[in-house]
Amino acid sequence: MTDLLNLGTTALSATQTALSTTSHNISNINTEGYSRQRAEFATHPANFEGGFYVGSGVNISTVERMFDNFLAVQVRVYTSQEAQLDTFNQFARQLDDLLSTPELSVSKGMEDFFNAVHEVANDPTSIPARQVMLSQAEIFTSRLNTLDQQLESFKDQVNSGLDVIVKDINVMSKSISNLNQAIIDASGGGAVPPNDLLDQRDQILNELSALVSVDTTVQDDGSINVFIGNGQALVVGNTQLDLSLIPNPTDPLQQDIGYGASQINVTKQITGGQIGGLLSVRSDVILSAQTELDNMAAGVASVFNEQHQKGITLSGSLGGEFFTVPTIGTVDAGNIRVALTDARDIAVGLPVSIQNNVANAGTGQIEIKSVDGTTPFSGVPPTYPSTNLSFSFDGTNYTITDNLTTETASFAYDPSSQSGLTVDLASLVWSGGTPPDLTVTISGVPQVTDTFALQSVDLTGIAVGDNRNALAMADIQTSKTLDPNGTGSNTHSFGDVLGVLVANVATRTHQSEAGQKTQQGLLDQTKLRYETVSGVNLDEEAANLIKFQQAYQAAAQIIKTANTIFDTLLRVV
Amino acid sequence: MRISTSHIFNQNLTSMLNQQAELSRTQQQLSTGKRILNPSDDPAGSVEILNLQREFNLMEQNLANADKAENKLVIEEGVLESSTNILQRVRELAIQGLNDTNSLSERSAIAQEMNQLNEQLLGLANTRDSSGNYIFSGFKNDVQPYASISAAYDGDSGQRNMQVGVGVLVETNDPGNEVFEAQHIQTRVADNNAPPAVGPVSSSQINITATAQQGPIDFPITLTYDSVAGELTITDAAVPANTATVNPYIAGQSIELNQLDVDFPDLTVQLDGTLADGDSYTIDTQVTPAQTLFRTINDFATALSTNSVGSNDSPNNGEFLTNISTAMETIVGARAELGARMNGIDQQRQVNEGISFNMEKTISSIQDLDYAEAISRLTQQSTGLQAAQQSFARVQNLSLFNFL
Repeated sequence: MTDLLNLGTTALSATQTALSTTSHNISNINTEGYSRQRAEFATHPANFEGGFYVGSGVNISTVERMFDNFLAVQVRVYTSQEAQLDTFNQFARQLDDLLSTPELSVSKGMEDFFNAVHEVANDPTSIPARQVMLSQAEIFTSRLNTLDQQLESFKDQVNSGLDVIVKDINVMSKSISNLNQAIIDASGGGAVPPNDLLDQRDQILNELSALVSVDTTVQDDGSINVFIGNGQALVVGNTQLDLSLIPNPTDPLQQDIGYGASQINVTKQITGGQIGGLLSVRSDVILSAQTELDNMAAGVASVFNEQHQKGITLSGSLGGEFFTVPTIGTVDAGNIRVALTDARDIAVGLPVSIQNNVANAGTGQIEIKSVDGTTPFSGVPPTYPSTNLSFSFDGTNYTITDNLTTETASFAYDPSSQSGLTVDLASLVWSGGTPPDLTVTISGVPQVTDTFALQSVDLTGIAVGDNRNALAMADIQTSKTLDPNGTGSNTHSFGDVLGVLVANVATRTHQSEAGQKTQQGLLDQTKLRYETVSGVNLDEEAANLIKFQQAYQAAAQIIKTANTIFDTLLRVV
Repeated sequence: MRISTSHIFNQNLTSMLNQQAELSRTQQQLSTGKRILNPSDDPAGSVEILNLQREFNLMEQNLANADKAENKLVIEEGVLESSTNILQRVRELAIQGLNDTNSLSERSAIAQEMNQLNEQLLGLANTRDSSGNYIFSGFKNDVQPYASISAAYDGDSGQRNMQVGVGVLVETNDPGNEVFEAQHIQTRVADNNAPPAVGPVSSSQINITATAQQGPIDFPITLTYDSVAGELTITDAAVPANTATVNPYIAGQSIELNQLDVDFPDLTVQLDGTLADGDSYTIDTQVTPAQTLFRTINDFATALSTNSVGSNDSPNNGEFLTNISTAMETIVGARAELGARMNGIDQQRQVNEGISFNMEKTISSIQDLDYAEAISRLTQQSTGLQAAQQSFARVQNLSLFNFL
């Protein structure tokens, strides 16, 4: 009878534990990181009585935490990857938005600028048209400046993001090391799992893996070691190492990640999580966009300046720098400025002109194709004699004479087949002196003895209506003048380079978006599987509740039966 | 398989949020009318749009340039048309004035009108455009090309180009010296008779009585009288020289030079007065490669007003008609070239318009939204969201606890 009572009592206490566990599960239905627990029933060791083993009831062998370490690790891996791409995408998208904003569009600014150059070419004496060209140039440069500032501010945002994340990581690794100690203490050498402490630690690990990709190893005493990068230990048992921010050795405005007390630079080793996203968006998008923008700004300044300096201004001097070239360093998107302030200083004309002799009987023409240097021939800018180079035709050859140095050169011209011939005067064989830095186009049918005079413009009577340099400057827009890939020949126009910049950012954004979605899908699936093991299902708990309630009622009946039996016995006595 | 309750909840929530995001994106596409909201939506497409828009912009600029270039050419053509009309009138007046039935006063009146017209012509050569720039002074368009009737050209030979197509430049002005200047010829007669040291001065003189010569005389021609033989020898300066003789030659006898030798100019001359031995005259043409119309007209008007335009006068202003014809040819030639340029602009404009129309179409096809597709997508997405919301509400009600 005592046996029966004892037996009933074990059943009551075991089902009570099971009911508590079920209630614990129900209570923690919304607790983040909570793993479902289950009370494991086990039969009490039987007593050997009268030649038989008689059962002596039930007990709870353990309260098990439903947890699959493999799935937990997978969840952390996907969390890291998803967080990295998500952070990357957030920044890349901002830049993508920026590039598509019409008010900030560099390519629109450039188009407007070159349209203004065309207008100056259409009406070279118009001061308003020249003013418009200057102000469009300023709008263009200020857009480059603004975009550069935006990129700088992205770098600042990355820095402050890194700062927050590094602090969070340190707090979390500290918590993990504390929890490690608590788990070692509570488990008594790993015999009794402290389920809720383990849940807490796993939850912190999950949060940590959203910040940085981590590797973990579980020790026999229940503690867990956490590593980042390629094996840098963040937590070992109950000790923890700090991450810190250190300035980048080449660009002090960029923050890198230091490890441990000696602050070893581990930036390159760290991957995954928000920190990995920030580091990769900085190197792959922000810095590369900035480099491309800087190269383009430098290219625009040097190519445009070069052409501008070949021209002549309204006041008769050779053109100066159109875009400011800093005395120290080079032109970049941040410092590109318009150097000119006076619209009259735009060099729209060319310093040389060709005059046909009025007595020429033929239809021959000589035109200046390009001025290749700032001093195309001796005596420019003008020191006269007014005729500096003269061309004369003898039927088969043009002879050129530099009237200042009296040096000569000649080249053959066959009017019947060579009209439109381009001649680089510098490449001809001259009798001496410095060859002129000019390319001319020869056309038409000259008669024998026809002559042409190539002269520098007369400073006292500037040809204000000359628009040849403006046309040459307008032409820069579509010419391939840049070599961004270092092929050795110029393969890109300014617009092409901008296109490449937009394409790079757009492609990266697009990729990270697609990648983020993929990782999100994987994460969701893995989480589902993880939840299948560890999550609480209320219906299941409700059923358990009923089951254990009934078991409890039945166990109470055992006690009642024992009591009845005892009463019966007493009555007999 | 057991599913955790909170996971059901989260999954439903995430799915609703995603559908909402999609819906809002479609809504944004519909409100902007654009398929590509950010370059990253379609990196390849957006770079193509960027390139196309740049080209499109350039085409538009070329079209604007073509309009401006055409305006300039139209102004110039108007000036040249007026100039042609004036020259026509000058020519009529010249023909009228050369008629020997005119009295001096009538000729003066004609000369006056001619001067008036000449002033008008000068005004046309000094035409300015709407910005106040002279259109006929080349690059030096702040300089008046012809300061006065007698002044030389002050501009330069610069021709301003405008870009009307990719790599297509069109000249939008002509220097005045290529329009208002032309070859000018004048027959001159030189009396080679040196006054004798002693004795009477020769009283002979040469008269050109008729001329059918077109253009300048190729080689100066010399007529020499030999009184011993009573012979007139005519030699030109060609190498070798052509020679002809008229024997006997009697003073006042008219000879058609061209009849004597085909290489001689088409002139009829006669020597009048008393011929002395060795009397010699040379006839040649003075050719000025480019003389301003204003000077040509002015010289003729001056000669007309002093009645010295007879065939006998040297210089013989009868060649004015030839000269004015040459000048008109120059202007007509310039007009023809203007016409050719304007045609070129028109053709280029058609090309540009075709290209930019196609570009616009391509840009639109890449960038613009297919409304039918987007609206049906919107309907589909909102139905999906509604279904998700309703099923969420349903599923959330299902719990065993409701039945305990």
